[in-house]
Amino acid sequence: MGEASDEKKAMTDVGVVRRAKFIDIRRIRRLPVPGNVLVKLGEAVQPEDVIAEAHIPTKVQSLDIARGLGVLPSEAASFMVRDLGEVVQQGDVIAQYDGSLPRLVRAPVGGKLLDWQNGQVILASGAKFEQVKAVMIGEASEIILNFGAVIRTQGCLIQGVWGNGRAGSGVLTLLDPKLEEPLDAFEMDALEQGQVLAAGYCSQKDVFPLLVKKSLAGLILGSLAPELIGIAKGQPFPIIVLQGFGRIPSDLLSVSLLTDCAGEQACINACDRDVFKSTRPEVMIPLKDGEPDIELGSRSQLALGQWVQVIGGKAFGQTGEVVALSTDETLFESGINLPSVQVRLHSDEEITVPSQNLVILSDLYPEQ
Amino acid sequence: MVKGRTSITVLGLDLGRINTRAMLIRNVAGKYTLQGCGTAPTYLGSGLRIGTGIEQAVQNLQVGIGRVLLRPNEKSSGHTDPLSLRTDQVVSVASAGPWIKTALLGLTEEGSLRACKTLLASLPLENVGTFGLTTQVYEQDVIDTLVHSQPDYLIISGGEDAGAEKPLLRWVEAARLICLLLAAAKPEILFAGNPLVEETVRRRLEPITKLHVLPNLRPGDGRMDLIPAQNALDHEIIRKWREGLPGWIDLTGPFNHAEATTGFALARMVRFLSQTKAHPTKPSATRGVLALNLGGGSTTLTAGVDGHSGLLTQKRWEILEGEEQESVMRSVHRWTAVPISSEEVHQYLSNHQLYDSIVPDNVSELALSQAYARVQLQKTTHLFAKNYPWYQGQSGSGFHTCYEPIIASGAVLTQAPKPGQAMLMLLDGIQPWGITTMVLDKFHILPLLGLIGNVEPVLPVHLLASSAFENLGTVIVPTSDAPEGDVILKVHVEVESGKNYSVDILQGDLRRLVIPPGSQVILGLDPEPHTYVGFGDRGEGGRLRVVGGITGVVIDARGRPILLPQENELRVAKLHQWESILGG
Repeated sequence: MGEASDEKKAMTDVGVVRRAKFIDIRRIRRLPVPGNVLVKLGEAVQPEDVIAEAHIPTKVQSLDIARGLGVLPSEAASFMVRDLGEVVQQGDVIAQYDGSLPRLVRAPVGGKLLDWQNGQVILASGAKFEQVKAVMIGEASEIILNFGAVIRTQGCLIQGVWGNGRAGSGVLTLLDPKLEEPLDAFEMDALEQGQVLAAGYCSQKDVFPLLVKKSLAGLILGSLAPELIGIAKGQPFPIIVLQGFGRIPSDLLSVSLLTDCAGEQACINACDRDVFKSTRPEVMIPLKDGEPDIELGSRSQLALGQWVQVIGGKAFGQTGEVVALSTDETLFESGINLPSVQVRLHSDEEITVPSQNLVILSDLYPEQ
Repeated sequence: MVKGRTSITVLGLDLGRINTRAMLIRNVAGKYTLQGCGTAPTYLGSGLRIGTGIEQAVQNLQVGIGRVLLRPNEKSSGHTDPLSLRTDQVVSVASAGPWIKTALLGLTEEGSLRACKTLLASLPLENVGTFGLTTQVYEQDVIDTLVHSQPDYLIISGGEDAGAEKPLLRWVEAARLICLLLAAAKPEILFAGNPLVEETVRRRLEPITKLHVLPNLRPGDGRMDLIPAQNALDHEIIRKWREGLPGWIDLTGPFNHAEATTGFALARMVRFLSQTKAHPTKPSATRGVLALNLGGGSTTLTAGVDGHSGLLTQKRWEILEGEEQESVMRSVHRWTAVPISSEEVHQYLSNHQLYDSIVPDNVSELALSQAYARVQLQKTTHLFAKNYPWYQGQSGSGFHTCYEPIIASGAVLTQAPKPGQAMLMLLDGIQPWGITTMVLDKFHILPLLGLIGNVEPVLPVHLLASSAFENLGTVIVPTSDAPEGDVILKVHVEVESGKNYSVDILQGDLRRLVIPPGSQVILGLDPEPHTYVGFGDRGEGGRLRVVGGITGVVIDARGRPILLPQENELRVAKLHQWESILGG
């Protein structure tokens, strides 16, 4: 047996950015610190409902009890008339010395007595609310004691690749049934307040003030001009990008799903992608009936017939069907040898793509 | 530690953000060699086990070496993995885990805060707040800010040994309050300040949270002593990752298992190598060792020289905004060796932030990825020099320190289609001085050697001399103030065949001397009086025995820093010209 000369590689599993017509959706809504869970098991929730909240004390200060009473720090604890953990109002007596010269220490502000140290008491006069909302329509299928709940629904799921960090919901409206035209090509006058709008591409920053004026509840874009990323982040409504940055032909599957769901209540959670929690920005549209699609997880093996999105190279962002899997490596124009897959794009063009440059969208070819 | 054995078999695991590697090292006929390497994707995310990637990588390794390493786990239950490893020793380095939220409470900007920031930047730690003496008047706001950001660790430092006490104790009380307020998610505290207050620190903090008391980061005389704190933090990071990355430790079962973050293990190896070089024949030309890794999730640079060592870890695809983003985009555009618009650069960088595993399949993307590698190396080197002022040296005669070898890893380098491209990325990114040798760590094994050295000290020595490390070539960097086109150096090449020749090097040149890999030549370097070439002083030359690397010997007289033509067409042509000179 000689020395190693090359690396032996596996046929790669790839990431999943799920798009499904009808699927079981379970999402964890959890506080980072313990608090109160406000929903009951089985309770129906709306996107704005608070699932759990925690009060974190703020504005803390030390009150020198020993000095106020004129006693030694080691003696001061015995003169406390309120216990740690108690809530006090402004002016309440906290400590009292009943000697020949009686003395009192009162709370300078209302708050909670947190701790005792060296003749001093720690008072927190503020509280920060930490809340976690449902951000979807569904029911609490599991309670996470002191932290939150698992919310479950069934319906259409359209995951994206970028979100501006906001969440919201409204009636889904498509400006263009094929999502081919840029957003600025349309008159916004017909928009109604509280709608979730789906469009193909956005390259004009002037369109955002109009959407704010219309109190838009959310915006679903196939693609976004990269120079607008900062502006999109600053918008008050959620924005989700499905395919990537730069002008990209619309994804046939997303168009089909959005068209089918037009007029339904769409919930957008335009959160950041978190690789460790497997969270992605997503649109969830609850539906009553359907045959559930299979679960693909956050990584899956490439297979023939899958609907995939290209995430590198000249076809970046485009989607298509896996039509051939190769066991050998392919030499690409870049000069790099890589495991590859044959993909038939929506335009019918067949391209060879490094399998690493794909994400799976669905196990099915989209209905047209 | 395995005792009473003459040799061991070691399985090395490298858990990267994108790929997991498994490597087997065995003693064959008295010499340790790398038997094989298997690679698989790293499985990160909810419902996924990092152990799946390890199993796949080991299975691929098994195919290559014809030996079974995975076997059914006899103690398998619902909580353990169905497979375990069959080997004497397992060593793991990891960079796959999430960066750990850390806040800093120090005193002076140039003293303890600087030391804290340098410590934090050395490991996969995310800075969620830095507060010094001047912010103590707003203590309530500091506490509120830290309660909001919920750090996993609080580092408290300040006061040289026997120095300031009172302000340090004020931070200790603030830290105590933060722990009280975050009762169920309280941070652990690392105290690395004035040891005179250690007893009070223990009394105040130990009852309420986990406290690590470490040697002072700034013990006195302006010195920084980061290694004990790095060691402690490295253990903590690994502990958190072990909890959060299922299937890693179960799989390695009852075996001797050593783990560290990739950067920390790499730095340990560089410290070892730089100590073995600590007796320079010419004290005025200080020589050190430098290693870097352009990984999928982070970029690491570590260097050691003259008893100093440093480490810097940066996120590979950090989402940038505003001026910093503009600056990175401009730099990437300038170093891209194809005609491309700045909008296309923006689009490429933005999309890469969405998908960190993209591989370049066409010429434009290859050029962009290599340009981004250059810019990231430049940024990392610049920040390293800022954190560790000894890096650029200028000791003795006032010249920059030479680092030899420079050992590099990362797919963008090791999988570059042509070795000349890897050499050029390193030259343009690091812009080294004097004389050095560029070495590619093809299997990302150097960090593992940093850990294995503790178990079997002779093993790294054997491996470093093996084909796991590819000699990319010797680099000579003559620097001079002469105008472009002037002769600044004469190189006399003495070859074994006797067909000696000489080459004139002009200011602005990039030249490659074709020396077949493995063959030895003697180079006579005869610099002009104003030229510094790495021997002593300006104008001082000498003779050098070199072994040919894949790109032969490269003479880089392009000046420091390297300047590119302003005009786009000329700039691209120049980048192409350099690439073709090096055979790229």
